[in-house]
Amino acid sequence: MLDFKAKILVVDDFLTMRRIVRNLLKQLGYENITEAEDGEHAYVKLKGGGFGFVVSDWNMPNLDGLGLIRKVRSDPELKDLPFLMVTAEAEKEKVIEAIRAGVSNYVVKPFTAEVLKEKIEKIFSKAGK
Amino acid sequence: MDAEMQEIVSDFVTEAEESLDRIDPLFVDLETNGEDQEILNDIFRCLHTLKGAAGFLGFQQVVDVAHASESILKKLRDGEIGLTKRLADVILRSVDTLRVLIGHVKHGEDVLEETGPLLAALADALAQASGKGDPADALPVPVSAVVPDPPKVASAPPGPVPAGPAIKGEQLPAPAGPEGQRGVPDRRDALQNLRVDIERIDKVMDLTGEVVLARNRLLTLVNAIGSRYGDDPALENLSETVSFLDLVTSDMQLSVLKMRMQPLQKVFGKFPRAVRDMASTMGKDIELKISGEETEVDRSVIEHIGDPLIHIIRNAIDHGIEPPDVRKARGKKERGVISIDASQKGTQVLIQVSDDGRGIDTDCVKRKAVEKGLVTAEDAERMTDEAAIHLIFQPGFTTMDVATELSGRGVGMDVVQTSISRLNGYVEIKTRKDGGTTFRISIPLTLAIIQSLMVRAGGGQYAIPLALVEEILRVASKELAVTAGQKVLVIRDRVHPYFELSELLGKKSPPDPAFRYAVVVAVGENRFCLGVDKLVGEEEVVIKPIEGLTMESSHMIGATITGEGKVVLILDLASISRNMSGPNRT
Repeated sequence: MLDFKAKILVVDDFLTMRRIVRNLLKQLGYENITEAEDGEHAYVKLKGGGFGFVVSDWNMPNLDGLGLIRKVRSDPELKDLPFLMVTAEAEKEKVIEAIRAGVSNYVVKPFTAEVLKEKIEKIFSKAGK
Repeated sequence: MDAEMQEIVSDFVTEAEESLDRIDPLFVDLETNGEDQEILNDIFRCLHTLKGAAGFLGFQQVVDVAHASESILKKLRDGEIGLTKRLADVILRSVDTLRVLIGHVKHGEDVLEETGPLLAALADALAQASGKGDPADALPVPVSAVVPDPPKVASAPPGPVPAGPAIKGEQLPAPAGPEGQRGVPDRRDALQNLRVDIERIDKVMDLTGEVVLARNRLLTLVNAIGSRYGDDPALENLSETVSFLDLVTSDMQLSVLKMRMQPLQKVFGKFPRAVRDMASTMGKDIELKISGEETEVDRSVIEHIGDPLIHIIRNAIDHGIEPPDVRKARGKKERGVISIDASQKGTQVLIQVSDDGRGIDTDCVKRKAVEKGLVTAEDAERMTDEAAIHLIFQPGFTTMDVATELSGRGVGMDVVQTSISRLNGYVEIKTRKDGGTTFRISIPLTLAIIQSLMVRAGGGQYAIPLALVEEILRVASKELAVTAGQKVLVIRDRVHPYFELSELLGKKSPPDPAFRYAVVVAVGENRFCLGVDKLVGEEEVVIKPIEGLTMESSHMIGATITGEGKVVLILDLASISRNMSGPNRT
């Protein structure tokens, strides 16, 4: 399971969404949360190191979630970083595209803390194997 | 709701308002520059993000409306349909509705708007633009049926592990949209704006107030020193420096005030929809004309002026504007007109709300006030029409069965008066039988710093807000006449009631001196003179609230510290004026 002290990056261009996700993570017991407002900023922060998990929105300016996961997966330092993609409406082709690009899982908004927990558990039970 | 959630909601409101405010100019861009993918995507993203966050927070109506217009934007962006005026209109309409909805969230109002017609209009516009006439291809209606339903999603089985086929296990909420375009550069001038906590600005405002006070004190000191050591060359430098400080302080004060200023559009923008809704509920046909919405006022005015204005508008619709058939019978246009106009007049902002309805029947108001025991029959008899109209502002006075078609809410107009007074403003009413009613609201541009006239009366010093002072006269005591027990002063053939300030404040009247200073004050149409012992001078004062003092009964709006370092009370002229023109005067 993801360590409660793990450094988590929440990526979304909408401040409110970042706060909502942060709040949900807090409810689950995660406290060490950093925010980024788009894929580019996120990538810079990830390169800074130390992150154990990323929750990223899809539709963002500059570099969107798909661009970010591609960049992350092609980076030797970050290629194994657990990555949860937040999507608005799940559309099959789109989600498949994200999965092909290497997201660890995805979650459709709006979601509850409980759903988020399940997704995280899935990701980390797999990663732990 | 816990504090955290409350904060999130308040952030959401701010961000949502900003997103919505960005859309109007983007549409203007679109119309001037033609269809631009980038702009379309930008608008799409505004709505899309808004919808996403609203979904989390459970604002279903916001989700519905944002979703419906987002669907159109998506098709526009993907080039499936072209932009028509009708589409633009209907999208802008949904933006307005979203503003209204966000407004409800902001004010914690648990109200639902009638969004059905809008959603249908969005669907129609899309169907028409698609040109195929294929309803299945058009916007799905009803929209709420296709928006992901939070509990459903919450109970959905856990998502698939990263493997393609597993995706079938995920319960997919209905219609989907491509999730965004890649590599679109951000059009937002993120660096041009800074989001600052209002508390910080208020702190700066507060400190500026202190600097103003210190500046005033310095000016006084320099004058005092100047008169004593006038020849000292060093004094010139000191004077120069203080003059410079004086100028800079004024500029700084203005800059800080501007930081807090926002256009009245923020408030007025809600009215068209509100008027349309109320008019249709009450079976009236009403056109709303708004002008001067670009007038900027202090943020606190923005926050508090909406409710009283809506109250006045509701009254105009309810009691003022006649039903179409009545209007026709009276030879008026069937469609009634309510106009709202804002303008800046010196240091005051003037907001007028007029209707062309039946006007207020003063006899009826008097009768009602007597019935309710607000005034005695004799008082009512003596009362001028002007004074009688102001009876509607009395607590306990409701317009129930004064006019026809009554709302029966029993909410009196006194809340309007109270709200405006809190903003240090005043309301006036002009009405003409069958000619309509006009409410004139006057509010100081800023609530914190005012120009004042310092006077002495009854042994104390007081500050009178200068904006309301018309002139000052030195009058010999024998020029004062007495009519019906009231002292009056005739100025240029006009009779003004005259009051000794000291008596108004419950102090003993001054011994009969040879002459007095009469400060002529105009609160709206109400002019009167305040007799004082001495004029001290003009001073810019910072209004500080006085704790534990009932402002209304004391005729004070607050206190300030003068250049000499003395605490001085600031008169509330509006309250004094009300008291003397009101029915309770004895």
